[in-house]
Amino acid sequence: MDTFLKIIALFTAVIFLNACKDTYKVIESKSSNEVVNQDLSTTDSLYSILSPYKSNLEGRMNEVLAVSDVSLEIGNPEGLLGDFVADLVLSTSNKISKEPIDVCILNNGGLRVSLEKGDITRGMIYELMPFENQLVVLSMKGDAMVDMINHIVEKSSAGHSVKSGVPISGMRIQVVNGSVSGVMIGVKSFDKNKTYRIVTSDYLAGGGDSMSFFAESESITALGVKLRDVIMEYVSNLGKKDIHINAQIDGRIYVKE
Amino acid sequence: MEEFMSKSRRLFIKNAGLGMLGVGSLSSFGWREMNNFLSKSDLISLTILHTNDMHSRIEAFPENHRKYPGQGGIVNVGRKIAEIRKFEPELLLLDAGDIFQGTPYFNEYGGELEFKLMSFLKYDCATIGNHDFDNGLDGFNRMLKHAEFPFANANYNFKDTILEGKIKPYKIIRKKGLKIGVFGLGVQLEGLVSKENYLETKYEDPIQKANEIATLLKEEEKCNLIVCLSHLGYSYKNTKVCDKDLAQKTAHIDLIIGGHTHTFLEKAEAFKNLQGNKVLVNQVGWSAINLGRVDFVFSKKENKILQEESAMFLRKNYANF
Repeated sequence: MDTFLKIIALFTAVIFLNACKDTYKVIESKSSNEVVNQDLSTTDSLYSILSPYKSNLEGRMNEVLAVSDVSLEIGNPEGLLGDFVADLVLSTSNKISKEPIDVCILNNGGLRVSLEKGDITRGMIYELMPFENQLVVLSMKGDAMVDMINHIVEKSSAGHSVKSGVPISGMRIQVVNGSVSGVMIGVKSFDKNKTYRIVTSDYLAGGGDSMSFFAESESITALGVKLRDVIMEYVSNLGKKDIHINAQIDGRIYVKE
Repeated sequence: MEEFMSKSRRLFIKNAGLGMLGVGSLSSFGWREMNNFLSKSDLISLTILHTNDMHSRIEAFPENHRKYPGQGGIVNVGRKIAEIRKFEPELLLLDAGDIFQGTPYFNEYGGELEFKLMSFLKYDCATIGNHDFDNGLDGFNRMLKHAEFPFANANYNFKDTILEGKIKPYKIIRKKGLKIGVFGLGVQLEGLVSKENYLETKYEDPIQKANEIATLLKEEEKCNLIVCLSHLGYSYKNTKVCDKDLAQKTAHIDLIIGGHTHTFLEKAEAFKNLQGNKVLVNQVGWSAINLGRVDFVFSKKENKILQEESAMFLRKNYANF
């Protein structure tokens, strides 16, 4: 009997141990992320996969379109890159469009890289604006534009990231102690009763990057050009005329706390 | 003196134990030794390498790049992965989305090269980021034939789209006799991605889906490890759902590999989940500038016993480190 009990006990113990043994559980973890540097040689098999794609692209992408005397970066409330792109979009759109366009509004999140001082290549413009976004023109009543202005002010206020910034052109906004103290469209004060024409990307016009206020617009017309092509052509024309890119912050969004 | 020794030994275990195992600072001899030790004992180690938001950065940034000179690129991260794989052939390699968009390689080839390189590197699984929709559902679908690895997403409902049935909520991966459940979560598409690019895809509550899938992976699939590939973002100033919320409002997840916010973490950060258990959250910026790494050690035994065992081993073999 005693032996029998012992055997039972042993079996139970074995079953119990096996049950415990069944699953591997995490008992310790350690993490350390590593920096990746360029150390690939042309003999690596990865390089051989890349090679045909690379050589096909390289000639076109390495073409220098123009030279910049300054580094263009996004900023909040304002950055050189945003000002530069918004300005060129507004001026180019006005050349394409029959009716005058008052304002350009874009988003910092869509300007994907900075343009460094020095040579600007076609590839860099692709990286700046990789998206296939088209330019569209929206008609908006002044009172509907109040939401847009509030959006710009909100995104430009302290505590928002650089990426949240809203590049504008054709418009100046002055904010004192968190409230709007003045808005100029062109050279005139903003008029709630007027209808304005705004150029932006189809992505933003469709409510992208939380720009839901565009739903209030009265009409939308496609300009039939891609944002990237407009930037590319403008930069390339500067290069042809041997004009260096040189932009300055002009305080179009002025925030005084 | 005795007390001092045991204390310093504990400290040694803490600092050197998995540290040596995890970081590639050991010589190859050391690695083999360690793996031999682990296989003889009850222990299994698993190395997880991961990327996020590679954004078609095939090659490194140029040498004159102000912020990241000569850094990043899929081919370069690939070389690093290959080196680590020499010591850890059964490592787990994952990506948390936004593979597409950012260089002319994507504009020209639509993601073909990205997927081919990732296939060559033997990625085990990836999830879908918002930019992976940039050429529409059709653009993504057309590239799938170049990806020899699966995509997992649990909170995009692709019913009535071209991707229906092609994206599974989770993937079970077996490494070193372990069963690893990997599932994916995506960010809210409305307001971020053009409707014409995601069409009938429905975004579902990521926290709810995460709990549903993680419970299934734990209780029905009996996974030893549960990993979430999240393209929700690390954290926000507003109340938008993020990885920090996900970690604390769910159960059973061991590791969240994040993306979207391009957050550079030096190492995974630890949070407590709903049950008070540890969950790690990691993210490595963008453009393959960094390679994420998390090492786990598994045991069937109690934590305490293991530490003594590995301590003895480490003291014997690595006392000079």
